[in-house]
Amino acid sequence: MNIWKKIFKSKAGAVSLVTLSVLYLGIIFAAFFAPYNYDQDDVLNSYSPPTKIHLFNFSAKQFTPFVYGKKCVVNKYYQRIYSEDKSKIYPVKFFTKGFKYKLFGIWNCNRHLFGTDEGKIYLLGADLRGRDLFSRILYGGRISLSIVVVAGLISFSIGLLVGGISGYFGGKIDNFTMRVCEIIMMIPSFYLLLVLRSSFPVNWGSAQVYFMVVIILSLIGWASLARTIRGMALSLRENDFVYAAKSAGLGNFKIIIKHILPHTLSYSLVALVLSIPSYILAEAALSLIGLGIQEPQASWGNLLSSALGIVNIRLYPWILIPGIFIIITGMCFYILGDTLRDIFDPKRKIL
Amino acid sequence: MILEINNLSVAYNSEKILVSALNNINLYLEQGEILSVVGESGSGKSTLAFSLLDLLPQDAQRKGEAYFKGENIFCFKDKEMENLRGKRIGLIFQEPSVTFNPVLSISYQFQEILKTRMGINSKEERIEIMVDLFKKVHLDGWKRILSSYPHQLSGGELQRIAIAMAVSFKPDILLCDEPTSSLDVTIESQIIHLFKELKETLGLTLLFITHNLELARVLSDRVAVLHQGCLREVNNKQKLFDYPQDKYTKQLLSSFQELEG
Repeated sequence: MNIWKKIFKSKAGAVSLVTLSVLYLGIIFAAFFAPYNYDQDDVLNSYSPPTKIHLFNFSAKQFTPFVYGKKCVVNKYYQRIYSEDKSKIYPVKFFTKGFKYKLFGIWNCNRHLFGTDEGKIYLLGADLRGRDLFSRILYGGRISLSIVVVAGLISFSIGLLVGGISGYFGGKIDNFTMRVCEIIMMIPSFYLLLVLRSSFPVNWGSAQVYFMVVIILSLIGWASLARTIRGMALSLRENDFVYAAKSAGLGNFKIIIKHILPHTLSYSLVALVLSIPSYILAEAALSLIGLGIQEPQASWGNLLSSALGIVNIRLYPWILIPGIFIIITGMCFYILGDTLRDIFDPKRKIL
Repeated sequence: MILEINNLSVAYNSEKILVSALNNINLYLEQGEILSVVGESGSGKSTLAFSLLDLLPQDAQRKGEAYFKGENIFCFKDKEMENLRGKRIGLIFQEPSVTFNPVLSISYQFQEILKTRMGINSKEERIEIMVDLFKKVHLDGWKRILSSYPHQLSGGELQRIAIAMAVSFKPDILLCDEPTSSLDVTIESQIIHLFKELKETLGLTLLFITHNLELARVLSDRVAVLHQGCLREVNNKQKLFDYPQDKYTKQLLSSFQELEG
């Protein structure tokens, strides 16, 4: 039975896998699903609440979804109160034309899943500058969800390699690398994030910041994986097949990569999946305090940074929605990792 | 003389106490002969083979000299040692079912060696060589064998593959660490015949480690007796079996004859 079938046998695993697939499809086709571009602002709609979508137009007896126009009053606390202007009706159109984008970065395209010709549709509300939160969550997901996978993979490779080398050679190399690992594990990861961040310049472009965050994240998680892999390599190197490979004259690194590390995969793959939520949180934390992805680029962390004040949360609760996405993604990765662990290791020997 | 071992001593460092495994071994190998090393378990037979290829655990201490074609291989650097292993001195292990990496197919493991060690880059050529070698070790159905994983093959088949792999380098010396002790008797005799045959066709020099006196008698030209890390007696097969000099050798032979009845 293959692994997909086994995942779908467990309900929780299947649900989390499907949810993650939907999320990743969402960010791949973010421009198509998003009605507005991530930096398309509209000051007149500052902190506009989620738009109600009406299905039936009773006066015209039509069955097409539509939205009403908006009236805005500023109260004495300078808060903008929005209400529906029932005299203006804007039908919601599907596969409509909107802002131009490049599908997969290649094809020019301007079709969007839904949108209105006039008026605005804010599925999940708008932020201070009137930018659509739904579009920004999709675009932010592009950064948040890709960063964690890349960083996870890099950190996974470092952990495997360091652990493999350390366990295989043993002796002084082992002692040295393990002390380094312990030092890294000793520093609370949030301070480690800050220390690493402070070693990079502040005024960088968005692409540079992206790579910086990837590097920072990959440098925090590898140590504990390396320690476990080192333990496994220590016992694996005593196997006859390692001696046999050696006696055939294969080099040390070839033996580590081809003959030792593949045996740790059932453990380390699970560890990789289980570690991704912590990267999501780390990225969110960095962006939340303004040290990660910078405006106007969106990431789930810096979307949440506008929800730092209690006043904002009281008045505009929908700005907390990116947090729900973080929670859902984190949970899905945890459950998926758990399911994978049960599949790879039914007797719970590892972790 | 193709290999000359002088004053080889090996000690294992366990909990800061040195445990001696081999004591002042002096041994030589002539080109094209089969030398059997017999002894009970724990007498240091395997240590002898492993120490020659520098495969001992890290806590082991090795002293002495071993001249292979005039070069002291105990002074070799890591790179030289890697080059020597397999290509010039091959090693066959005791337990065929664990000498192969269980997660890689036979084809992959064999080709990896041919590619990295022999530098054969075309796949067709590698397969041709493998099929040819399988014929030499009397393995049928190369397609099935190449596509299978170690656990899908029997011990006899795996040991034949291991021999084919070792022979593929055309090594000067083949060290065999009890290659038949985990196989059943019929397979054992087939493998022994295979060794004899390969010795004739390829001109192999064998250092054959075994605890089985009968095997040593059938296979070898000379026999060395190891006991508790010390070399008790080395002699021609005929002389050793007919006129044992050493006390331990006599005991060993008499216990063997008792069994035979």
